[in-house]
Amino acid sequence: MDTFEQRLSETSQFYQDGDLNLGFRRLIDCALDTGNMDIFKSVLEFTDWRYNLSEEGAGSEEISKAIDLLEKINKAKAIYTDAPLKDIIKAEGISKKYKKGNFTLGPLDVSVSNSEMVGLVGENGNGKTTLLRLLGGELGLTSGTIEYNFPKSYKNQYELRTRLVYIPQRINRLRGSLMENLQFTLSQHEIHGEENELMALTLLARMGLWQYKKMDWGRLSSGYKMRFELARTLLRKPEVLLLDEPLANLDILAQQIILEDLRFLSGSLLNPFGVILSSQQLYEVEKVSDKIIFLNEGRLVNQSNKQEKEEEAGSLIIEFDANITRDQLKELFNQIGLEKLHFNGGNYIAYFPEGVNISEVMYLLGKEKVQVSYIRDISKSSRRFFID
Amino acid sequence: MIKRINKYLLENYPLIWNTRVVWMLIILCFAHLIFYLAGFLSYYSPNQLHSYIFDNYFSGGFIWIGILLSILIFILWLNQYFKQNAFKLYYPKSNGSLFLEFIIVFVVCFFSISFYLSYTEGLRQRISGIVSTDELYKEADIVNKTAAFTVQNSYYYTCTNRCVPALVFDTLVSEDEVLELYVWNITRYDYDQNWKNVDPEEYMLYRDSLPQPYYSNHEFEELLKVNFPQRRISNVDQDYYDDDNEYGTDEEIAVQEKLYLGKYDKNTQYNLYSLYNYCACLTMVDSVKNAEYYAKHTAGLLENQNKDSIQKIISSYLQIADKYKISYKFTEKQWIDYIYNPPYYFVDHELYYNEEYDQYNRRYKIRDHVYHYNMETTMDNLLKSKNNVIPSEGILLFFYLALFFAILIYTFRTTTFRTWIISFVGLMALLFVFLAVYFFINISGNFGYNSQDSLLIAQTFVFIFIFWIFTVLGIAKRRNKLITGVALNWSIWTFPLIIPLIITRYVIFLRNSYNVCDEYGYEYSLYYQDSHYIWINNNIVELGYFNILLFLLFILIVAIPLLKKWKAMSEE
Repeated sequence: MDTFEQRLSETSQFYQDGDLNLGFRRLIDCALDTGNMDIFKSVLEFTDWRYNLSEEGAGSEEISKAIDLLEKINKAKAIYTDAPLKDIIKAEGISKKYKKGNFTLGPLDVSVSNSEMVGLVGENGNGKTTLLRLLGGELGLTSGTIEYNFPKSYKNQYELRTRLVYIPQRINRLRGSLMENLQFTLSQHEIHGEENELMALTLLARMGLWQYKKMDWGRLSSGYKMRFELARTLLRKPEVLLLDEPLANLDILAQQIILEDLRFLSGSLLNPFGVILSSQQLYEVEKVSDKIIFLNEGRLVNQSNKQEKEEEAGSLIIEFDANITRDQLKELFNQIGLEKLHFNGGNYIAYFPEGVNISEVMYLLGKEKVQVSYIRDISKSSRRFFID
Repeated sequence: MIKRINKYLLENYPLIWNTRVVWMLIILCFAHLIFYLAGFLSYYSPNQLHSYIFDNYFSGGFIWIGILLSILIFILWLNQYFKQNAFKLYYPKSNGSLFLEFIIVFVVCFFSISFYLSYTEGLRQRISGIVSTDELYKEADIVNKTAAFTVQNSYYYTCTNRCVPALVFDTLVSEDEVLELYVWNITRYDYDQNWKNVDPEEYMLYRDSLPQPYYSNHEFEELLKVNFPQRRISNVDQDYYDDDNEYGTDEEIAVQEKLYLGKYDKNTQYNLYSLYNYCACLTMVDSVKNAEYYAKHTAGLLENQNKDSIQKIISSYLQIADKYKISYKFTEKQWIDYIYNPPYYFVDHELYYNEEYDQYNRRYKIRDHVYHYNMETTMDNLLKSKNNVIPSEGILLFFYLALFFAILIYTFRTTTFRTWIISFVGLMALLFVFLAVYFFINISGNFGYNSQDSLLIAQTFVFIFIFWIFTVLGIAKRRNKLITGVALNWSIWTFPLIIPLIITRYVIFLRNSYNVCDEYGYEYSLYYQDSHYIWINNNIVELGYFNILLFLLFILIVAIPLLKKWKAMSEE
């Protein structure tokens, strides 16, 4: 079973489990990988049917239709080659010093390969936007080199800029309807005729913008604007996508969907691309990223060092919120060797020595009948995030 | 239908869709058609032909409708056109596509501002349709043949106007007599000797300097006076001659004059206006049928005392006058009776003024008249309608106006709003500095008229050169995107000035190299005789179009690659 078939069977499973929304999105991803107009047509018919459903209980019908469609997609086959991963952007020793102000980014090394997702995290003012703009050609380097290894070489700087897509935090204003903008994007990229319309509609369906296709861009909410921006960008078949704070102004559900979609879409078999996104949402970003870049005061906090440090320490760090006094907590946790207790932003952060397990912590809290509203093992999450 | 076309264009020809050029051309064609019809229908009466009609667009107020419509069309179009901008969004865009975009903007601009051309063309075709070319030429011929008999202004009938021989007069005064008086007139006063004798043998030496034909010299008229004592009007300037003057007393002058030219009567005015003297052709149809041609024709009729033929021509003329509603009235006397006065055909009546104040009845009364000036203008309008009404410079002007707007719109699209607005405001400021420098140098230095112009041109070239240095350096070093963008905008905006400035500079050079002083020490130039100057002057319109073509080539070969390089530059 190749990757494509595997994805189809996963999708089929989502449907069978009743996860219709996820199933639908993955179904379109698979359809997009075929690049087949007939498949697009079938998907659009299915989408139209799906959005015209009046009653709630048509789930079983949708599932059977979707399974049929997946079968059809399977027959159509995806066009792709299992190209080995390689760095499409390789930046070495890059730095940027602004003329005004004393902030300096770097020097640092960054690389991203196709279908890889890199999370760029750090506090405000630590150079995330600067790094993204450097990679996107929006800013000039003070020192260092950036190598762009695209499958199709570029002839001049303008062509390079057409292939690097940088989406700023404040998305550039567009005018006209969603459909107009997408079709214009496609025809500018030499996709004409019927294919043009089908691709545009399929992307709208994929990004959950089906009902808004005739709406003017200006009337979209900010969450939908980000989705639309992704749709428009995907049609450009970028080699790399640089997103600055795409999750800002989005509700938690929208954040998760955007991240998940980026993950899925960058892993496209037909048009894989690299993603670098900056975000404040550490947890959400680290969940989906292949690699995390930490920026602190313009410097890269080296991953391997942190990893080593963590492994040396091997301690347990628990973040939680509970209805209990600090003294009571200390007393309780001292039983399992509490090292440090911090109170940060409404949550407690407790440090335990190596060998202590989260279940022991939970056991103690449970035994004392402490009302816990939130608990998370951030040491484990960090480890997973650094080990990769 | 519109939706389907739009969808087709959007999916297949994004540039055509984005610029809305199809719809714009349809709307503009329609607007031009409306203006054409308005021009066509704006003629409704031959009375309109009595004054110059082809400036109707300006005098009739259509110009304001045209300007308002242009503004409205621009606003609506730019609002649609600016909705999408592939270049700004870094979509792939070939040089050819960027060039085509400029051409589209240029074409739309041209048709958005040139309603005047359609209006005037409509009017021209309407006027042209009034009468066929053959018939018009026949009419113009009759009008020209009759012109001598219309007696609008005595001025046309003075002796000095005559351009063809008239035996009745020429037999009275010989060329030798004219020459004698001519020589006497130019030599009679000598600083040392006062009145000077001229040897009869001596004046023959001046024969070649006598302006020809000899009868058109005012000496001829002076000599003629003696033959027509009955046409004497009154003495002129008696007071002047009454007193002692530099030529001596009256008596002295009289004696002197009698000594040399007994026939000469200088101090008395005579009415010697004659139909023979008319020599003008205001509505010329071809080069053969010129003023002299018609003067000969008239002289022939007059000499033969061919009253019937004259009457026939006048009748034909009046038919044409009826057709074009030219005002005339002959109730007191027939027209022919005012003019038919052989053998000398002296002119005693002007037929132009039609109103006369009647002292007795205390009101104006209409006199006999014919409005030949209106006929001339009518013929002029009709003849113009058969050719081009708008001079080629006029059309070129619209091309340049369109180019001006196209450059501004295009650079606005290809650079950024910020860059463009800084360029625009900056250029205004620079113009101020430019003029300040110019005036400062002018005040501090002693510059002649010619060098002022050269200074202005040299200054402009220096500025353009600086713009280019900033552009090229900025793009080569990929630094200072904003400043480079502003310099690039200025370089593009000022490019169309280069050729006209070079030509102007060259003409100034010619003007200076042909400097001569005349006998009074006044400096002037004979540059207009230079073959290069003549060539430039004859081909100025062609040079204007060449400059536009050169600019288009510049856009394609230089500006677009630079704009792309600039666009790809990093911000900081």
